[in-house]
Amino acid sequence: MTEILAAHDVAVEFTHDGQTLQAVRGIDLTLDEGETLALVGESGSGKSTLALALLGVHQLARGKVTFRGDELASVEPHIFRKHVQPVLQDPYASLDPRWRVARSIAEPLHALKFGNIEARVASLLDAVGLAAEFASYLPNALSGGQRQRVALARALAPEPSVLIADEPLSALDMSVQAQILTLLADLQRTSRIALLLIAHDLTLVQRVAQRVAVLYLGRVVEQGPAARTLAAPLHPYTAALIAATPSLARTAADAERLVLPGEPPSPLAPPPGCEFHPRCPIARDICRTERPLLVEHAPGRKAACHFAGEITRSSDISS
Amino acid sequence: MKLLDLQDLHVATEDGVKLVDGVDLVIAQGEALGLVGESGSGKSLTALALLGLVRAPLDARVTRLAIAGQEMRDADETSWRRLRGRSVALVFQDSTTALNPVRTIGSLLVETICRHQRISKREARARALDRLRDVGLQPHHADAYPHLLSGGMRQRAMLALALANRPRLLVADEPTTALDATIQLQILHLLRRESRDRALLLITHDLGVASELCDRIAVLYHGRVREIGSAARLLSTPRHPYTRALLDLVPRFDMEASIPTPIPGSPPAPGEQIQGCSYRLRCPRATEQCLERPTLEGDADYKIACWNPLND
Repeated sequence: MTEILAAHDVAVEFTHDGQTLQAVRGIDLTLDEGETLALVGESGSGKSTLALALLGVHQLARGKVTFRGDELASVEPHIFRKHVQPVLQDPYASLDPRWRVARSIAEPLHALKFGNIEARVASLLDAVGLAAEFASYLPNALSGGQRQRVALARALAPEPSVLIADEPLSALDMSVQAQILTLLADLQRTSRIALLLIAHDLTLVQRVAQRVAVLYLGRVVEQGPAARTLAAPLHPYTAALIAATPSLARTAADAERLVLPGEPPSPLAPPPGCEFHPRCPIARDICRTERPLLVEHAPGRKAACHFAGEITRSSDISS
Repeated sequence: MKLLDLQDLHVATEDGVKLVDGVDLVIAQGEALGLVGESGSGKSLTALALLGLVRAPLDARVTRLAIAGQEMRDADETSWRRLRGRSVALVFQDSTTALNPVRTIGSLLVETICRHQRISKREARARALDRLRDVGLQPHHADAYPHLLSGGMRQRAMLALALANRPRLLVADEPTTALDATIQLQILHLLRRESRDRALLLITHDLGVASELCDRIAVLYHGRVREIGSAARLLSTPRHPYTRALLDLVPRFDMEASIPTPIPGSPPAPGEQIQGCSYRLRCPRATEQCLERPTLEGDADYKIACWNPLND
């Protein structure tokens, strides 16, 4: 596998009123050609900030982002933009309401000086499963699913090698989510685009991602192959996220035990030791003082926990 | 005791476009009913009708609407005002827009309590703190403005407001959609605890969320209930093809990971006229008989509207 996009010890800080908030606090991550890597975590865990850092939007407080091994600053901007494209969360906000679909899709093609634009727009519409007449529609005539298809066509227009999709399904109905997910998987199979998928829904991750990285308070707490990570998580936070996913199989008694107490702590005042310890069902003294490092526990599987692997099944949690 | 008895709800536009087309819902004390459907199926309009909040250009008609024993079919705005917030209360989806941003949580609670109870401000304040405690918030949160609270805490505050006057019927419209998974689970547990001696109508597009909380489930499609019965029965042996399709979309960890099969096509536009069963255009079991509209039939425990149900 060839590495295409990577974060090396990336930190992003925001300063406001003299306070410094570390949204991303030293993350190493690689995305290989053609793979799907999912970033999961709750609000405030730094997923979107990391995505924007990888898109070159944020200034880094520390570390570097590389594209095909070259540091971002040394890559021609128009080459980077052609190859790394975002898909945004809310298709109601990401399309200009006064632009017809064809114009939205063609915009990056004009900007990047592509030729034969009309024909490209037509084939892009076809690729995302929209009929040709959609080219002349305004966004308000489209459903949420159709809008997200347009947004996807626009992202695919410059034939990128990487898509960074920030919660591309969360604004959509479940039946439409399945359609867009199928589309993403098909596109990836045929075009070998690398996909960085930001999601809070683990079941979605299980379906499309080869690898997963779990974020908590700006750090990766667990990383590994998606199937094995979700079947037998090493970090108690991953186990708790799995447990919190509504599912039909769970009994009421099971559910009673699995509620994780409290909320993620403020990134302005992260707790000492392991940042997860105030909510962790298995925290001990060492967790309150010493922050565990992200280390390999099995081939390809890393976790930042002093007691990694102690909770493997969600049903082991009791609080 | 029936805390909600709704018979034959119709919501239509001025031009006669039917958005909710004959919905019956009965909820007993201590019972949680999940109303499940996709965007545009009429879920939220049904909720608004239960609070007397359907406004022109829409019009709501019922054969019967009794809330906590009070007949509201022909009620005027004054009686609705007396009822709303006292016998029936609504938990909104989006706590960012539903809470007045320039008022503290405590003052919103005191206002809600004083609207319905003749008590002193001091006493109302004491009750407000009780409600905050009920939903797992601290007394100091009474002095907080909504923007100072996290999404999960705001949703707790909204629940406290809905519970302010101890309503008998609680209507929750997608109460956890905007929340993270671990917080969603906390709120669902809280809702379940608080609805134990009340009646709860939970509106959601997620059958997984409904299964977490509800005793019974009603599946709504294009303004009509297609299947209604105990949650256990609907989730284990759904008979309506639409219920089956929705169930297949609920992600499960214990299954081989695969992308769920999408329901073909898209839901009809609200009010769109379709001859016969309006699900037939997307239904794998549709036959010619489906050109005639099936009625919702069964007994008090279970009803279905389908000519070719599954599991027969």
